[in-house]
Amino acid sequence: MAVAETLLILLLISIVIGVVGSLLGIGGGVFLIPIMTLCLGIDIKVAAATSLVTIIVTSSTSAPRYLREGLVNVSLGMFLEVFTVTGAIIGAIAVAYISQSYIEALFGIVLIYAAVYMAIGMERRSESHKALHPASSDSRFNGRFRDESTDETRYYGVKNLPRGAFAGFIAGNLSGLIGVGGGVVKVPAMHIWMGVPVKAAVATSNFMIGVTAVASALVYLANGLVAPAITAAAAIGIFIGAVIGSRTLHRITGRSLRIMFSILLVVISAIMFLRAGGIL
Amino acid sequence: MTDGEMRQPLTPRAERMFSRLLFGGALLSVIVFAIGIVLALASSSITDVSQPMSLGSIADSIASMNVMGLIGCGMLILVATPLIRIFATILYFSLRDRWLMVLPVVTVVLIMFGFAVRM
Repeated sequence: MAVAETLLILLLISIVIGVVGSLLGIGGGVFLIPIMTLCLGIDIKVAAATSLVTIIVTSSTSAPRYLREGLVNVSLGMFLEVFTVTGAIIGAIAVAYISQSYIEALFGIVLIYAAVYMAIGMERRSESHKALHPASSDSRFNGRFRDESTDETRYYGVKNLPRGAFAGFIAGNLSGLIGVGGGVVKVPAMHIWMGVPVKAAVATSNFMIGVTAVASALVYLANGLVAPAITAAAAIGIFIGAVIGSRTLHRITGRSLRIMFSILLVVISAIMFLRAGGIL
Repeated sequence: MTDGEMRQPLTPRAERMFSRLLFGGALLSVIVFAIGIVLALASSSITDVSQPMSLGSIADSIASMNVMGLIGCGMLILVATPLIRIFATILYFSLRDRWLMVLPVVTVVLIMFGFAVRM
């Protein structure tokens, strides 16, 4: 495939990934890496490095709009960043010692559980978020935002901080190990365990993934694994997609977002199982 | 729980400031990437799209001001954007909330540690 053709295809694919990533609070690495390796024949380590750099684009493009709309829980994001960054660094260092297929299979199981729980189990509980939430463990992390899709202000308390910190660590670990942003773990964890409404969880995840990715990306950069040409093409596409996606979130209801996220988790877990089995 | 019981960590002005910082960094890097890609394609500078570069060769390209250096420059702007956001939050919370200031300080120390270990 010609150079210009490859870069154009990557740019177009990245636009779609940018929209999805921005809407669901993920970096999009789980899609970008398999596409780059399978369709464009790019080495998996180079693909992971490219993915990590482009995750910074998703975060830096989407988070500003969510910040201005008051959707981001800044205190919670900064708290969880400590654990995601710790996990990302350990993951990036440990990648040489752990079986990749084992991690991918485990990741797939966790995602299927999260998908089912988000789609079915959380239905009743998420409705209670419309009302006042029970006392939180630390009022410093309480949040509120204006939900334009339902035209109401939603208040929520944040609970289970240690469990959320653990999920943050695992999300960071996956970022370092397989080159993703970790949003696929952070969003369900914030929503299911910590009681954060899904829109605020998506926005807070978008705010955080840039920092998680930069921790891993610097390690990959130091190891000379980043390919500038494909990174540039993917970054331009992701930027365009993230601008479109971030302008769409406020129009979508929390229920639609949960269903979309559940479908996404099932698709990603299928990709992970196929990769673990050596098929992808 | 009401507005009065909730303490928002960022003022609306700070939210706008952090928004501009993040978006400005992403936009600048994407503009630099776009110019770099167009120039690289026009001059046939790219022979292998997936050819990785070390930090040293990126620095050399930037110093010699060639097309790949321009793309490398965009990459450094992009990577620097969240780091500048962390430093800005440290500065902001040092004046407002020392407890919240500790969190970005720990984060930046961890990132630097990780980078130093792999270097």
